[in-house]
Amino acid sequence: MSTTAERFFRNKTAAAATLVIGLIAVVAVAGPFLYPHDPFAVLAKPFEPPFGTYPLGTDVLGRDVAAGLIYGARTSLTIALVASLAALLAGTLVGAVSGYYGGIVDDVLMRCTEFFQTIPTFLFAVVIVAVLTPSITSIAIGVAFVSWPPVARLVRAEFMSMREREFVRAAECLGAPDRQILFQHILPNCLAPIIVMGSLMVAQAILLESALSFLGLSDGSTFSWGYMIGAGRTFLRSAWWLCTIPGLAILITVLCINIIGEALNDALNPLLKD
Amino acid sequence: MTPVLEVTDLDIALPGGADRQYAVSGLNFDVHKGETLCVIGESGSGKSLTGKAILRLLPKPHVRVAQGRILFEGTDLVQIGDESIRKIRGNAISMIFQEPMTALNPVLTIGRQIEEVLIEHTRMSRPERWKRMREILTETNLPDPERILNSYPHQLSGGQRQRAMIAMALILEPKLIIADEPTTALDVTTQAQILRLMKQIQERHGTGLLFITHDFGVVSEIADRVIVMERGRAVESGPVGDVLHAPKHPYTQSLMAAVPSLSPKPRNRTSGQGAPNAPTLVAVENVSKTYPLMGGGSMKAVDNVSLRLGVGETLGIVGESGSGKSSLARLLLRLSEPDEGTIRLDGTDLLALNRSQLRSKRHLFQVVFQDPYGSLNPRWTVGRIIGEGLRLRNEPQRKVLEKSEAMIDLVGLDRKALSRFPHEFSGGQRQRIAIARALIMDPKLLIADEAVSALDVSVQAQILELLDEIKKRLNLSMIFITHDLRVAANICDTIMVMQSGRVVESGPVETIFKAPQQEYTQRLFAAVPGRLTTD
Repeated sequence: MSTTAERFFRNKTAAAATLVIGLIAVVAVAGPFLYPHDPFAVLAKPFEPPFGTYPLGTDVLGRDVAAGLIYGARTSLTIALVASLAALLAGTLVGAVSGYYGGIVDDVLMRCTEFFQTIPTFLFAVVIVAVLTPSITSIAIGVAFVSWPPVARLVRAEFMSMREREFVRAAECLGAPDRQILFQHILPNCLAPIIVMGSLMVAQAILLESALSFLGLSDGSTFSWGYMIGAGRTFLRSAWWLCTIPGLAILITVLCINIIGEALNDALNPLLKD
Repeated sequence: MTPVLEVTDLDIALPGGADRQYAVSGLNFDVHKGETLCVIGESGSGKSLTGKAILRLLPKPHVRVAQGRILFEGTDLVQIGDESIRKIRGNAISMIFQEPMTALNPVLTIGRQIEEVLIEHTRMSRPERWKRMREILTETNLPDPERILNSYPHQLSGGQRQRAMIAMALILEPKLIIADEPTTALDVTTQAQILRLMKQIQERHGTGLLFITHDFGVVSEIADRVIVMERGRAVESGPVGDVLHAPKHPYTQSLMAAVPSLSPKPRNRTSGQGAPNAPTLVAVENVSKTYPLMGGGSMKAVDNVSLRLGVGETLGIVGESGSGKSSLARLLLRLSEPDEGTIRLDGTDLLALNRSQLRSKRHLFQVVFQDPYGSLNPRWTVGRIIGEGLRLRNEPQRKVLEKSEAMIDLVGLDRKALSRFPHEFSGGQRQRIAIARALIMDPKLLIADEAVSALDVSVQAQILELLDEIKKRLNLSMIFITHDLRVAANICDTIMVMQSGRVVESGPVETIFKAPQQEYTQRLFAAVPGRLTTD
């Protein structure tokens, strides 16, 4: 029997996607130290086309698009990771408690979850960010706030089926406290679907962040991909690269993360183990 | 006379990396018209794959017939095309599976599912089809065929579902029926009825029957001839009388010896252990538990049950599925709360304790569950599993390790097992691990809930022996819950028979087994398969 990692990397597409995401992450972390220009600095005349003095051209104010892309990667990925992690933690906690205890606890928690689910995700995020005034923190909070309910439902279903398993009963008979049963016994056994969902959530969060920035709900002091598209959209016909380049960056990142999520799902699925 | 089915030199190949190259190798047998051939073997012997290979139902593409011929009325089923085999399936050869609940489609009525067979293979009109279906259901002794045809699988009992499966298998008058453990999931009394039914129908229609089972009792009830399989090879075959009464091969002999006898072991009840006047350890009085049913109403799972267990005694709770024996176990383990009654363990009223008090008493009563695959956390090492109870009591790491090693020795496993994971062990070994996890807590009471039901007979015998030995050495009291009267006879001092939540009869094992007083108990005993031939 092969290990999960072996099965994952046997999928060539997934291996390639991991490589690309790795490169993007390196750029996001190290890029600002290596790349000479500041994204806010006005360097040249506006609308310089790509592949000239500046590799990806300049925007309406004559700022370097490549620098924007590199600094933007940092913002977009940070918000996506932090928001997904927060949503994952909150969703897991709510789902675990709800699924394990059942009864009235479950009823109350699930009604709350449904309350969040009935509000259209994007509108809700817009409202939260607008009320909190746009900043990196408030965007992360907004994205996390609208992303946790599906996690809670998934984790709840997993815990409900797990709590009847004999090894869980056996732990209860040993006198294990609930904390131990929930997080040492049950949780490790439902990590696979949670990890998969988490990876797909990161992709979702990047899109949400971009959409918010596009509408102008972004932190004014930092560059992000969505902000670049939003600022460039009026020049779509005269300077195509202003929207196309950050758009491609979003497309590639989200696509790769989705591929990785799907491949993780296959690799972690015990039924597909050979 | 030419046989209906003739299998010669059959090899079934397993994928690379399996524990052996061939699941079945060099297998030869034939089935004649109106004859029952039983294939018996333990898990992993290749008996089920043999049945599947005939109808080409092997899990593709990893498992395949590597060599050999399967002649059915002169046609080699290995060679013919997919279209031809589809015409034979359900028509000339039909199959009955172990678990009718999973073999039937849950969203279609029984009638629709049987009708599908007729639509596929015949040109009957709709009224003709329904007439034929009513006839065949009447023949399988199902009451009110009209209602059954319009029912969904979950609305029927296990026995009714298996009768419906038999009806479906029989409706086209096949030449051969392959039955893969068709009674294993049923209660003994239902099993006895189904076996009788299959025998009758087979004699009436002159069908050949290939019956796959692990149970010698069932073999003695139904077989004409027997093949004993061990690791893919037929080690012995012959008429049922010869094989059961004078087995020649040592493997057959060891299997037969492992089947527990239905007469209780002689016990030395005057010595300290299990003596009738032993001090009371567990006293349960008038315990009841009612569960609400889905869609209104309620079910009394445990109805006014009282019991007493002395120190060093073993009490067997026997009954069929739905008798409330497992619900009672859950109450005793305090995994659910009784509606009324008292449970006292060693003088402490368990029901009066709050959550943390109860947690500190839990080590006194430990449990071994049925499913050796589900009762160990698959992500933990064996060492962590066994040591969990002690670690919860904040024992120092050195002591936990010492005691874990002592327990692993006690249950007869290698100490290296501690650093390995549950999936690396066989069912019997896992059950040993579960026993070690329970015993490390120094319990006074061990509750075994169908602890040997999922094991092969030879492994079952070893685990029973282990439990018996441990019980004597540690002067442990045990409550042994089982549906298998043979197992109960083997290990218990006293027996309690349950039916729909109530205690029907209880007393010392010798008394109950020799002269059961209640009609229900008598019926249970009469239904145990193979009781005349093996005892």
